[in-house]
Amino acid sequence: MKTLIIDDDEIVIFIHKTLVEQSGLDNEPVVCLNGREAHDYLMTANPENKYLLLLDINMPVMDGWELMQTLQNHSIYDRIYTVMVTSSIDQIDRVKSREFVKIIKYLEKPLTLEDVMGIKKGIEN
Amino acid sequence: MAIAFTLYMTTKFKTIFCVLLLQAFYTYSYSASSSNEIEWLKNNIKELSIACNASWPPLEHIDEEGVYRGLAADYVALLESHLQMTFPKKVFHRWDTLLSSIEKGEVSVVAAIQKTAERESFLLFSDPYLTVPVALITKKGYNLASENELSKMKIAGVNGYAVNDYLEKKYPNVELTVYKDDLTALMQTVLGNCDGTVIDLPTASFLVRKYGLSNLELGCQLEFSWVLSFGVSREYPELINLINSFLNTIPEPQKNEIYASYINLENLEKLSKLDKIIDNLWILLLILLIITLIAIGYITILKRKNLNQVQKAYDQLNFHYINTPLAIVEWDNRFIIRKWSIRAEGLFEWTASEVEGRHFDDFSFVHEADLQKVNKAVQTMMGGTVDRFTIMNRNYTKSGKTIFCKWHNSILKNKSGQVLSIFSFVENISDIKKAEQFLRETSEVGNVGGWEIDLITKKNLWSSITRKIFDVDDHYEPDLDNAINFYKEGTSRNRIRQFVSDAVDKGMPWDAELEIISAKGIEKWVRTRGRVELQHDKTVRLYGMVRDITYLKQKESYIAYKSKLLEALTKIHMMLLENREGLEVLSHCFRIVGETIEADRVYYFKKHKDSLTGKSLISQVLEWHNPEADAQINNPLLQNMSFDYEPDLYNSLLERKHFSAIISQLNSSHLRSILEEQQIQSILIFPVYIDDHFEGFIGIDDCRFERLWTEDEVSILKNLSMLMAIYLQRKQAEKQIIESNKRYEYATSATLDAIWEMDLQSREVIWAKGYEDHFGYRDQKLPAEIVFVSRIHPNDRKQVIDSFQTIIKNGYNLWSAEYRYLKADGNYVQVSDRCIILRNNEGIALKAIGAMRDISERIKYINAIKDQNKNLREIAWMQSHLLRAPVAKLLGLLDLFNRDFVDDIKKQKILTYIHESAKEIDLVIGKINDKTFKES
Repeated sequence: MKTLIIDDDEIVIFIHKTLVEQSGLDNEPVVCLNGREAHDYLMTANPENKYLLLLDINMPVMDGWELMQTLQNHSIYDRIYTVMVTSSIDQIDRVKSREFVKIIKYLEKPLTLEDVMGIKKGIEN
Repeated sequence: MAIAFTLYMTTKFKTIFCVLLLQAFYTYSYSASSSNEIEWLKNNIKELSIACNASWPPLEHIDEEGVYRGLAADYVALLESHLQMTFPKKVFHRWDTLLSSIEKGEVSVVAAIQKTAERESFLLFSDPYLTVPVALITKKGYNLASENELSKMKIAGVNGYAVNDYLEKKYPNVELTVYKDDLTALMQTVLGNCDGTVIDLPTASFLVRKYGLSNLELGCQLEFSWVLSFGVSREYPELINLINSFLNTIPEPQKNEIYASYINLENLEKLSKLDKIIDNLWILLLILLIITLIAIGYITILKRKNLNQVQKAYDQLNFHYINTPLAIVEWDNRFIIRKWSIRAEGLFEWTASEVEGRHFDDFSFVHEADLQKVNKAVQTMMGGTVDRFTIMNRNYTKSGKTIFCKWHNSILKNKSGQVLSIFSFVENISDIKKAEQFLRETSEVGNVGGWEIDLITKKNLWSSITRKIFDVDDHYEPDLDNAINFYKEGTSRNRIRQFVSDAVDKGMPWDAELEIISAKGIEKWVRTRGRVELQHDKTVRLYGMVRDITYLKQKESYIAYKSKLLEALTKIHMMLLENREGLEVLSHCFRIVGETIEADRVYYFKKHKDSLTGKSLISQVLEWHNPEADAQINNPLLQNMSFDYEPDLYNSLLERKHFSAIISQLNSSHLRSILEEQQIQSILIFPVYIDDHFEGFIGIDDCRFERLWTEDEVSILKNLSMLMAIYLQRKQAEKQIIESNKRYEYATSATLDAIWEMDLQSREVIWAKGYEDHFGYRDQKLPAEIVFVSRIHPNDRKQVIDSFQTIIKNGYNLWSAEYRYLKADGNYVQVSDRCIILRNNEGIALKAIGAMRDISERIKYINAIKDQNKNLREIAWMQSHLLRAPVAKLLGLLDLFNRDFVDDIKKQKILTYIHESAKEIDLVIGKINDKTFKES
């Protein structure tokens, strides 16, 4: 399982990277600064692998929702799990996340080690 | 060759020969076995059975009485007497069975065996102790001209003998038939089944004598000889050492004596014509023979000695390969791996079969960053100018781990200096490197001092940085008790005492953050780490490091405080924007602020006017207080206060600035006495403005300390006042709605309503005066089509008429509707229209009497409130979203900062990020304030 950290904020990337590495989820997570970078990565990625996306909503170039909509049309969609990690507390976003079967969790920032361990456990089960 | 030569000599010459040889053999030394090896042997002797060949006389065989005899048996007996132990023995009647049994590990030792490459896979060989010539025995009169004739002969041999390989390789056309033992093989020649039998000379001699085989003669001696050694199963390298030690104790004359007692080859002397001539001339050749003999003998001894030494060295090397704690790698002169020890397998994870025969470049073995360094070392070693070379570099293991290795290389060269091979002993120094790295990193991050306590000499050493941390000079002589006493009494001292005790008693290391009081009385935080040095499981030395982390701790607590303030502010934002009812929400916010900044009271004073004089007064209306401070909400002195009490306070509030004071420093005034009465030591006040009108102020008291309010505390109060303003403004708007509704309720008089009466038969409408007043129409009598139908807003018309007709039709008596109505000035206004239906006894509707009221003012209020609420919602959304992102980051960083797994380097980075996030929050709050007040 390869983990993709998709966020445009340097500090958030630092926090998420530290937690993902520490939890043992992935020793070398891939960092993407927006949805477009994540999309390009996944289009050339090994289709046999599985991918975990830690996805922010508001980003330049391509936001989290646009990425999810684009991925829906590709076969790689079956190989991904997405956790929305956002600073939005807007209920509309939370409700919208239910439209995508591949969004397994909706978490408000800040992400903690316990959250990541929970994600890991969830995926392992 | 020398021994082979002796076969031709008579006994009298042998005596002379032996005397001459003795001088050369004196160079042999005696050696003794170590006590450890003897001890090992005692424990393992039962498993070390010797395989006895029953059919190889005179070297070894079982005699008629079942006794193990022969030349090799004599060596075994000597060995047993030397070691004072007896080996278990197992008899084999066939050599091939014996060999396969030893290969399977069913027996451990064979007393006389030729070393071959194949046998080395399951046997270790002692130093050779006997060289036995091998010959071709033919029938008398066969007259073999030379060994080369073998290629055309039919030969008999013994199954499993090493000589068979020699014959087949050298004479590929030889017709060799193998038999179970030497006697059977020899009998084939006696019986004429073969042209000759390949057999060692002592065995042939023994069998000829024993069985009276008179028709045989020595055809030729082969260039092949048995070089016999003890063979020991590879499982027992210790036994080989013992056997070699034993062989070295036997003086050469004794060896010769053993040899001579079994080997008598006279019966096989070849009586050729040439031999007869030699026989006649033997006296003439004697001197020459002796001289040659000495020379050859000497060379043989040297060769043998060399062979022994090489064998010994080889065995020792093998022993090292197996037993050394270091990994060993042997390279050839092209740096291709020849040998890869078990330890090397353990260290690098590749097995010998995976790497032997490969160059180090052929697999991912040397770390890329060190490749240049390693290649340079290879060049140096291959240059032939050095005998030894040590290099430290990083290597990869098979699983891709990086390890630090110290390679101790010995370069083996021939006499001309050409490199033959390189032996490398590899030491894994990863732990040392990690420790160095750790020290370097910690030294980079902060000032790290070292210390050590020698528990034997009681010597204590403190580095200069340690002395600096504890504020002691260079002359200070530390001891363990004094060092412990520097730690702050209570938790810190108890913990360090426990750490030291556990380190001394149980060898446990420690790593903790503790408080000390330095020699100058300064309180500091230190991180202390202790390690132990053990000797024979006993702690002999404690050592470690100490680092001043006071700054870090202060920063930590500052950050924690700042984060608490931000968290409080976020909570207040949420609560006030949730638009909860009542003053409870404000008291709740006051409590959050009070608890966060550890104040004694938080309160709100509201401005109002004196009902008699119209003068502006101010009264306390809301308060939160710390349980340890007295409540002042019911203090009459705090009601109806005049602003004249304190002009400084008044002016600050009018200028929209905060006012703060330490009460003892205020000029004597009425205000000061009021504040002193409440035991207030410090005060901080901030005005609350709504739409440029001063509404009151909020304040904080500290009754315990004369406190200088920090920028953060002023900022949180400023935020509270702004949020309160928004809250109060909204509440005022809501109040206005309620008031306007009340007005509507009161205004049931005709003056506000236009009263109308409609004859439902003639459909004529008569209006009262209010119709003109409120709607501008003078006509008082009009047809219903004009009054209602054409003046109702087209979009509302159908619905209104339908509802009215439904009421009439269905027999109801009351009707009401709200719709837009056209005024005389051409504008539509919102009206509320209600009427009562009058019916006759049959229920037929005759008249409708109604009142129509202009409710546009009320709608205006409602819309104003709606707009206000929309604005407030937008502000709330913006505040929560803009502020939440940096607050979330800050909370995430603080969470990471407090985690144990985050190292110091990362912590430094986190501190930088925390600083950035805090700045971002400041910026966002500024923006929110601008936006909030602009919008509201």
